[in-house]
Amino acid sequence: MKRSTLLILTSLLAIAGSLATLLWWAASGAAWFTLQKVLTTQTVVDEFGDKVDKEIWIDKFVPGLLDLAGPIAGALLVVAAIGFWFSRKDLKYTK
Amino acid sequence: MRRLLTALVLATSALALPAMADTPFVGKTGALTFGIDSAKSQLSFLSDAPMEKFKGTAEGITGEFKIADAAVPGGVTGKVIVPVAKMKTGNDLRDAHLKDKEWLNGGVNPNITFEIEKAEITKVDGTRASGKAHGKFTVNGKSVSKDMTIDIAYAADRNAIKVTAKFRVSLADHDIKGVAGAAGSKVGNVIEIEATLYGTGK
Repeated sequence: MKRSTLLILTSLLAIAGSLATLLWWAASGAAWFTLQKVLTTQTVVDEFGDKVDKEIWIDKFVPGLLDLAGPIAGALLVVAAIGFWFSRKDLKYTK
Repeated sequence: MRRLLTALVLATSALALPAMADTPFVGKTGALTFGIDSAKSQLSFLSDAPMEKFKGTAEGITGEFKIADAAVPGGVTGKVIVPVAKMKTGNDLRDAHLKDKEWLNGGVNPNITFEIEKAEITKVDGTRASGKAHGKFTVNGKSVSKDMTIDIAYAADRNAIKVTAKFRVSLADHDIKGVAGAAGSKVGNVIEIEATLYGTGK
């Protein structure tokens, strides 16, 4: 496989990875910052006969855009840009 | 004469009824003291800032409510203590920052407190009452006078009380400046608080 083809493939994979990272972030709850716990609400009837929202933390990893998914997606886009840049140069020299 | 007597009886009953209904502590006389049950009580806080909206909780709430006379629920005093160390927001890094000196300064001021001075009971319905509690609210070592909406429920058979409160806290009132650029953008300048406190008679 030619170097330029390999570089283009790598760039396309990096773009796909970047989009997948952003999709993973959106599907996980689209939080700005990474969460290690999520607050869940359970409606229970307390000893006074009232319906009360009981709040309980459950362990759940939710990726954040600004501190995890964003930097990963950004880094992959940089990789893709570098790959395209060098593949262009390779193609130019081949001609 | 009979009419006059009937009128007198009715008038006396009408006067007595509101007096009987002025307290949720039905069937109790004298002083009452309730210790806050830490395991059951919960407090949540909501920060709604342009960049982020998050909800957190505080556990390990302690304190007590003292009512000098069961017939006068407005004469309530007491203290509610919330340990800063047990506040959670779901993000470990943010939880650590929350205790930093720029925010709640948990090292120097380990507790958030509300010292109840009195209450204004506006409505009593059986063993339930609602109104406003007035007292001194302290965060980050800075106290301000605060009124909060409260609902009281009393269980006479178990001599137990439930107090729910809703109020707002302004960071500026307590000299909380936060790290540069965070207060007002990532963290709301005003925090909404809801508390449900369960107390058992001592």
